[in-house]
Amino acid sequence: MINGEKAIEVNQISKWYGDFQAVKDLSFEVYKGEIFALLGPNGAGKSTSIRMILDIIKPDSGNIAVLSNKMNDSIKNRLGYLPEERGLYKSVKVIEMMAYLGRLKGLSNNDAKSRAMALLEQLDLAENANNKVDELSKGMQQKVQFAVTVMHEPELIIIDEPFSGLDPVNRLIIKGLLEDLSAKGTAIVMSTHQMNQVEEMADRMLMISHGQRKLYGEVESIRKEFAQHAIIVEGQGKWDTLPGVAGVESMNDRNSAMLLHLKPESTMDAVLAAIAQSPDTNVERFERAIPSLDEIFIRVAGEKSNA
Amino acid sequence: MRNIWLVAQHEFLTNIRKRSFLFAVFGVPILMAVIFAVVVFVQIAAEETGLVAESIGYVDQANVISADSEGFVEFDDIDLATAALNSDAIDTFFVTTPLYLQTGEVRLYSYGQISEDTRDDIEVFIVENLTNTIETDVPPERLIDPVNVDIFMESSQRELTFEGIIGLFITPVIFAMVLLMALQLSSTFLMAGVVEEKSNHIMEILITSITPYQLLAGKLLGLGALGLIQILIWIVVGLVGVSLGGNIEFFSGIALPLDFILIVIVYFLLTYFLYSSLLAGIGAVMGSEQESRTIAGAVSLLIAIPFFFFSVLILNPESPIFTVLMYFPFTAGMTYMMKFPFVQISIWEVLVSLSILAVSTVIVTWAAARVFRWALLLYGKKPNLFTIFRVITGNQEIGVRPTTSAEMEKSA
Repeated sequence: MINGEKAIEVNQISKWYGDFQAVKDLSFEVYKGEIFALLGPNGAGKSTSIRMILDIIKPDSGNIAVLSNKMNDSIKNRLGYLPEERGLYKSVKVIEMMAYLGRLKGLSNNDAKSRAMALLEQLDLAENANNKVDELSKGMQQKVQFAVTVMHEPELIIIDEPFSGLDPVNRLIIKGLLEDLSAKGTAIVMSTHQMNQVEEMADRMLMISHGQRKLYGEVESIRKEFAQHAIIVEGQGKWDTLPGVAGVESMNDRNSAMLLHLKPESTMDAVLAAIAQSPDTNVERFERAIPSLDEIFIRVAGEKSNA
Repeated sequence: MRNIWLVAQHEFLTNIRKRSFLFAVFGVPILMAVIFAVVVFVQIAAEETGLVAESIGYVDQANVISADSEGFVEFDDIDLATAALNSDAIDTFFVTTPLYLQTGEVRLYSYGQISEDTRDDIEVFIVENLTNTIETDVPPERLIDPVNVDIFMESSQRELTFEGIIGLFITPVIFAMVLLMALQLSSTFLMAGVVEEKSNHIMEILITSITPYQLLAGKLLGLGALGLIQILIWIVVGLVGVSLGGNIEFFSGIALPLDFILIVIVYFLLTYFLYSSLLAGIGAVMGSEQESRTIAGAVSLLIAIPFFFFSVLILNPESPIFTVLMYFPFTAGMTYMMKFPFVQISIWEVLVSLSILAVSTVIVTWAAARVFRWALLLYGKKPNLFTIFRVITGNQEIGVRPTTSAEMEKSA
């Protein structure tokens, strides 16, 4: 449920490490109730941006508001962060560790324990509550880390690679939990390289490269923006002789799917009509060629920095 | 404040249950008591065993023995005496060597060990014979053991025997060692904790919940309390031991005045904060337990310096070495404890030493906290001393370029 309230407001931030500029005049907003994807190649400035939002490091210029405020102790209690490099106290019982980390987020001891238990039950880990962390499998530890991130019911969650190391079943469980939280109005920022998840889950996205904003907005509109004047067809027939078609490109080895580049003045409707009238074509699939985020990512990330 | 308290509580409760803590607190005193008991036992056994000779032969090459005594048989030469020994006619024999009067050399021949009592008998026999050559009324016992020290301690108004004095001298040294061990244990726990949290990246979660300063303060307080508990347990164990061994002369001199204990606790706390915050900074910078331990080991040698000069202290308690060590922050506490039984330490000396220590502790803790905050998210490349200096003086940007996964793999 996107409700127009801003969870993060980043305004013209820049960050230098010595001579290296990690982030350049970056601005974006994240709203409550949305799943927001933060994308970019390695070293693009994602982690630096996240650290500035979390107030671990300060921007050299620009400003950041989190939950409509400058970062302070009470704001920290209202956000959850799961870094890419995950870790837990190894020789402590799961429930004790969760209670400690929950209390550091402002929960009372009882609340922390009962919420931890409830989450462990949801994640099918209730019987491991009194196990030491290093007795758990890697997947179980991942789920515990996720539980720690959300146990204090934060209004903003920032997760680096939410699904890394999870099997398909657990991936579904975590995905469901994130979607529930988002439906309740929690803002979720996920930084990931897994584009199919962004396509599946994210409402909006920001892609940065060389510290700069490259793409920003709704995932669907960005994909459409990148759509070529082309059609994907599957079936049999002679495509290159159709009126309105400028060129034909095979999309796979078996030549079953073809990309038809259209002449500038031609439309999809006109091509569809031509196919219908043509006796030697037989269509099984006909759609606008919208690129996957993967393709967009490769295209944008491959561009040279214009600095 | 709540966050500091939470961290302190967590550190205290998780570390007090560690096996290494339980071993240090209960195992070490038990081990020491066992070793002590074995040493005492072996010594007593050695004194009580050995041959108690019924008849003792002698060969008087020095010509100092004129009067016979019951149980002593003279032989003309060593061969005859050896024959008598072999035939069990005598249990042992001794020879006053020709140069005896110059050197005091007496050779004792026997099979197996000779008891303490038999050796005393021989000594008395020789002294009796020696006194025959001079005109004196002094009984031989006094010549053998002329001084039986009985010391009256002006400060504590107590009379002590010689053994008691040793106890008095040794106790503060034992006390200093106890404190050193408590200090080491707590500080090492602190450093290991920092290294663990950093290397498993839970640090990133912690510092998005609380500030690095709250984290460090909580750790220092929690583990400081742990150190005090450890000392308390050892003092109680020590007191129980002393009361059990109350009639042992060695312990009769043990007296730890209240003001001494209070001053020692102030020294302990200040030294603890000084040392631990330094170790926390080292742990945060080094990031691996092995490397941190190496550096921590070198720093801990600093604290133990006064022990290296213990012999100097016994020979010359007023030695300038100990004046210097008393004012050097890392050694001040240990030096105070070790000097205490030997010399009168003026209140001014204590106050100046404590002031230097307190100021250094504040400065080091402050600097370590800055380094700690700066180094928490530092992975891979280690900063050099110049960078660390810049961090402390505020000229180094707080914040490090995040390492990308690829770089991390490379550094791993």
